[in-house]
Amino acid sequence: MSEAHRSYETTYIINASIEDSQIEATIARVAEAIERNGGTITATNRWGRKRMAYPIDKKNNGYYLNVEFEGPGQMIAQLERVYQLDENIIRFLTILLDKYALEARAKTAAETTAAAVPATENPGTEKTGEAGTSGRPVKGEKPQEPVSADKAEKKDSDSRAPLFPEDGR
Amino acid sequence: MARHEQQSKKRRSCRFCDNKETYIDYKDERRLSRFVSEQGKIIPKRITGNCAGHQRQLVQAIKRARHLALIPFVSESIR
Repeated sequence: MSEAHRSYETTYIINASIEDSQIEATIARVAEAIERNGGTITATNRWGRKRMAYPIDKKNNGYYLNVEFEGPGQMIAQLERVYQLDENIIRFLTILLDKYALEARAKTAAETTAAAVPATENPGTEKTGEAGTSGRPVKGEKPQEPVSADKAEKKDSDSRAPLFPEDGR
Repeated sequence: MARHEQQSKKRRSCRFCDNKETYIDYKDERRLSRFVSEQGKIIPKRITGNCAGHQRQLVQAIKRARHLALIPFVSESIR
C-alpha cells in the first residue's frame, strides 16, 4: 500500500470559443478532479488563447493550460477519463516528470529569476519579449544560425503574430 | 584522403551535448521547429549531428508538441 507519489504534468486545450466563465469552470473542475484523486497541484501555467498549428474539431484556436502536480500513479487513469468526458477539453497530454525534467525545470526557473533581476534594472527591448514567455522554458540562450525550418516558422508566425500578446498571464 | 578530411570537418557535434542539456521540453516550440523540415518532418540526426540519446529525446518532444498542436504535422504551405 506504499503509494509512491510522483510528479506529473498535464497540458490541455480548452475550446476557446466558449465563454470565459465556462473556461474558468472547466479549469476548476480539472483542479478539483486532481485533488479528489489524491494529487496536489504544484503549479498552474496559463498560456491563454493560442492559435493551434492545425485545426482540431474544426477549431483554429484553443485555450492552453499546463498543470503540474504530484500524486499516485493510479490517479492518472481516472484523470484521463475526466478529460475525455469533458466536452470542453479538446486535447490533453499527461506526462511523467522524471528527475531530468525536474532538474531542467529547476534550472530554467533559476535562470528566469536571475534574468528578471537585471531586466528590471535596465529596461531593455528584451524585457517585453520575456514577459510574454515567462513560465515557459527560456528561449534564445544560444542565438543560432537560422535553419530553413526557421523561415517556415517565421512565415507562420506572421499570420498568428497578433495572437501572441494575449498569451500573457 | 581529401574527401575524408572534408567529411570530418563537416561533422557537427550534438548541440544539446554542447549545452550540457539533459532534458528537451516539448513546450519549447521554437527550439523544436529548428529540428523540423519546412514540411514539418523531423530532420535526421545524420544531418543535424545530434547524438543518438538526444535525438530520441527530441523526437519524443516533437511528437508531443504535435499532439498538442504546438507544431504542425504537415506545414500549412504544403497542405
